[in-house]
Amino acid sequence: MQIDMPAAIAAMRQPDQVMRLDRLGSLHQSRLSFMRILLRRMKEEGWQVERHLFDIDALGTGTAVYTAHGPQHSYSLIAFANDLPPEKRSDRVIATEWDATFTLFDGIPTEDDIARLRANVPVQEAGRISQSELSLSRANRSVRLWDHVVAALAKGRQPDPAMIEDVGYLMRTTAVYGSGKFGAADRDATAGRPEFQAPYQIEMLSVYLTRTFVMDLVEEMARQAAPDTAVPLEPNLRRRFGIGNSTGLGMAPYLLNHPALLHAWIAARETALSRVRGLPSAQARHIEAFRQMLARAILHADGWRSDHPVQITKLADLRADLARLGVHLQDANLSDARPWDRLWHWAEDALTLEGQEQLVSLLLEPYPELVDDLAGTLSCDEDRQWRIAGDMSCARLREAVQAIYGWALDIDWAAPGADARVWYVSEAKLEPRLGERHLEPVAPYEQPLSPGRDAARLIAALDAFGKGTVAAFVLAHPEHRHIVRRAQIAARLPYAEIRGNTIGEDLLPIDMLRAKLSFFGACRFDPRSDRWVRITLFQNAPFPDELRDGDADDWTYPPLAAS
Amino acid sequence: MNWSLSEIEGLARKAARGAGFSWGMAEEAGKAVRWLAGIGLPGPEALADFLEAHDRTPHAAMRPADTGANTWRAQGGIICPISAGAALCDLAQSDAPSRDIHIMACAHPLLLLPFVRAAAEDGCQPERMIWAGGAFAFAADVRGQVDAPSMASADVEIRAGTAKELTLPSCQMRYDLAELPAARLAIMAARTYAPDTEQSRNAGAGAGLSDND
Repeated sequence: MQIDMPAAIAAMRQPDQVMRLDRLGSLHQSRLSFMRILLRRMKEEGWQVERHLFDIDALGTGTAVYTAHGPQHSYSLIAFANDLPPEKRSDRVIATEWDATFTLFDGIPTEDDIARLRANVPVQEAGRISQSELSLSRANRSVRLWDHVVAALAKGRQPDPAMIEDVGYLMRTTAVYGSGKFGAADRDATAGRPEFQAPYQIEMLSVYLTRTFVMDLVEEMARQAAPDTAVPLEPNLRRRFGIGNSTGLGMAPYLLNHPALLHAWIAARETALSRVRGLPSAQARHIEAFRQMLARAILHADGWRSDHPVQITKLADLRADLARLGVHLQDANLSDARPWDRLWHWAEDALTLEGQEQLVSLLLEPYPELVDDLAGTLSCDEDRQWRIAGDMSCARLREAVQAIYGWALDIDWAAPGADARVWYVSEAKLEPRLGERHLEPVAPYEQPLSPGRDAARLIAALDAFGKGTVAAFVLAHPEHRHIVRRAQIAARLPYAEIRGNTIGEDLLPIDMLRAKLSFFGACRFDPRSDRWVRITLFQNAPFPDELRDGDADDWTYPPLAAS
Repeated sequence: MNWSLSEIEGLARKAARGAGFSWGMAEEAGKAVRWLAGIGLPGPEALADFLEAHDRTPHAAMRPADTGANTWRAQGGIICPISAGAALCDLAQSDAPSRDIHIMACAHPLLLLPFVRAAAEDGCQPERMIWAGGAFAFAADVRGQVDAPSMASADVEIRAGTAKELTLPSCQMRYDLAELPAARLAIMAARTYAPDTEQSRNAGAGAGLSDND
């Protein structure tokens, strides 16, 4: 299909609309999600994954190595399985033992490498890894589903599909560290490799291989329990297991600490949407593909469970929205001019944020040729955006701050609810936390994660300073240097800044977590509190040995004919 | 111990904050120290020396008083290399590269180096930095040598120009930081961490549910 790109671009959505916390907290995975980028590449390049070592005893303890061979480099997931007493099972950062721990090794490890890592990886943050390691992670079992699957397989039966549907994974990762953490290789060391050009490809590869390991492990446990009767999982059932992930506050500051990167992610998605909306017409096959995806998204929403009141409401919204969209499509004429743009405008009035953002993701599905190349724009050189433009006038800076942080300038920051929260880092394992400013003595430890309030303070300081350059202003006022930098980045990169109060009493940190996790490709967000969320990754995805003959990118919504 | 450069940057940023820098200036210190470590220069050690010597000194006393002049001095005598360096960069797009600047009594001049490099880049002009402890030139490449990396203070001269006779330092992706300087920085960095309490442990991270499900 030939598309005249310039003519095909509709107006991009404005950052004041897109960057609101409630909308960011309603994002869904899409063609641009990092997991999907990884699997598309692995398929295109014919990656081979082999089980290098699998030395696991009857208690489920031991070591396994899975090596993925790409065109230029090989990467090995080294897994250390543990027999964890239940009282030690915690998803929190303050945990000290896990059911399994992992590192992604750059290349193929020697026995000496494995011995060195066996002394360090199982203790996670208390250990030390090196430049040859690219990630460090751990996972805990879903006890309920694990025991059920092992027992069923040992007896020669397949596990109950309803229980698989209910939980969705056998193990959930509770942290996946990359990029220089605990001694691992910096991102700079591997960013030049094509397979790691897109964000978080190391972490996604690690989790993808972890899923394969976990499935092998559960089958092995059943075999060790009952060698004569045990059976492996039936392939269609096997694919229904994803990997869970349990994520707390630690992830939330990332979006604030990487404004240029946040812009790159959001801008790619918004560009994709504007390309689709800008299409002068839709071909029948694309319309049909869209209708199919909608039907599958309805299934996905039906299978999505949460006990959290906020999410229960959002799920009801989403299901009602998808139903409304389905009804609308029965009568809508998608053969007319600019059908997707008209559908989008209808949705802005007719659907809640959940449904609107689900629609964005669905609109991208039929158009790989319009969307997938944008995967190359999801990274950026943050250092290039980092330096302050000192020659800007204070008057110009003030205008920019007004435009970007107008929402914050309308807030009465003297009201206790406006700055009720404090982001801080605790002494214990350096865990990021959120405290109550007016109830706990944590304000002296505040992290710079409140751009709205800082912008309001900046405006006041600029007004007092008067005329001059930004260079002169920040020399006199180093306390504003951080927010000046942010404002200048956001003036160049419109989607760089979250446009909502990140320290207000109404803040739901899970909104920030969901925004980031949706870019990973996460599904089934299940908040456990306002600052803690469980998700599922790679559910229904093909396993490495299925990539060659199957579709690598048609799995994120469940299949229509549920077998 | 062998550190990744992002660990070095994080430690330096937190230590600077702990020693009284604003977050924005602490970020500058982190980036500067990372760059130095990346060409094998003892930036982390210099920062530890500097922060201890001038712990919690008000910024106003150590910043260049008048950056419009060609000779920069601080009100308190000793000038902060991070503050002077940041100011130099902030002026680089417009003003500073067009003139030679003398920075008098610059504390730990090693820490100023990364800023001169950045200023050369921003100002699109080759720049040299010369002091009693070493000399560098920043053009299309980076050349220079440091004879006295731990020099506590010196007058520094920054002027346009290249120096082909200087050697090319080698880049590295890691840094070996000894335990002692790491511990000195960690003490400063620890001031940014809130003491742990039962309440914050349970409420602050928002979990508290059983994970045995």
